[in-house]
Amino acid sequence: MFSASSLKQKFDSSFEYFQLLSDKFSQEFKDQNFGASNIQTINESTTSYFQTYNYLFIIEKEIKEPTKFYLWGLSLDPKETIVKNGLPFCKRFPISLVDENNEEWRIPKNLSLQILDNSNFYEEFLLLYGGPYIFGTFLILTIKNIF
Amino acid sequence: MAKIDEFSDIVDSTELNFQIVGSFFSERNILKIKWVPSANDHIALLREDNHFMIYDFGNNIDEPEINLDLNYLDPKKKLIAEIPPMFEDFSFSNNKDGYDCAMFSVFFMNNYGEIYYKCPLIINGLVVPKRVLAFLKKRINHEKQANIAEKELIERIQGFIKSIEEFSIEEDDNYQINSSKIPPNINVNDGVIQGFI
Repeated sequence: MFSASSLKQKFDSSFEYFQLLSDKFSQEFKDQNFGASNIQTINESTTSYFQTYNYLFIIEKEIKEPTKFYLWGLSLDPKETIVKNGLPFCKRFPISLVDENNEEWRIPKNLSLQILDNSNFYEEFLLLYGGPYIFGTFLILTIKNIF
Repeated sequence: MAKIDEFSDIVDSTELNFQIVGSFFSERNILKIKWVPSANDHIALLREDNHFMIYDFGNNIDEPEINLDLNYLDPKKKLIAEIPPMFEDFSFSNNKDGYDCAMFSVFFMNNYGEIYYKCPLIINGLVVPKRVLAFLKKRINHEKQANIAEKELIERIQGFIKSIEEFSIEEDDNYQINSSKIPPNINVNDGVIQGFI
């Protein structure tokens, strides 16, 4: 079984750790059919890295009715990577889309959500978009809520 | 190998609220969104109807600050083509080294593989390092003396530099564009693409 703690002992360099962790996670998701079934990557942005927090966020669309979206948050900092059952720390949260009045927003059929690729810009916002819509949340609140 | 069940304790039932930012994008789907480099809180988006728009998230999200109809980048091509080109992606140049006008440019690619650029693209709040203008002046001066660039082009860039200096708020090492003062001649809302690369 993949053990983050053993990786931490083995690799001093955070870069090597980051690389191996990324590779390992890619494999985990691939093995679980994560990418094939629930992550749409063709011509769509489904991941975004936030340098300030050293977090990778992944958007997942559950292919069933009604449509449901999830946000994965993955810390890539070895110091913050808490091992649970031998697995790196990673959480998945259901996404709730709300309107201007904070009331539930009915998700149209066939809507896909993408993450705005932040690439070091304005990391206080986490923006999702799909169809003609844009949704946002303050990332600092999200980080606090999640982690 | 870890199974998905083993991730179960990391799946949280707490929902994360994402609020709709605005219903101002009409019914047209958004193809791409990107942050605008060097301009706080601005996002640029490309719609499926070939409209490129820039919104100021920190100020007025009801009206786009810039609205470019990319269908008119090359009207002749649109008339000739059986199926009008569809723009699929765009990219900013964030080159602040200042050897050319790259940091004021945005590039577009359509489904025919053609790449266009728009220059200059002036946005309220855009931060322009003073060294960029210094490099531009030096280069223009050199090209003018060496008779490399056309007179009209040199005059246009000189006018552009002057406008940046005149209609910006001066900070330590930067100019910050103040759009309320930008004269119409460098307003890009109805600008024309300079050419095909």
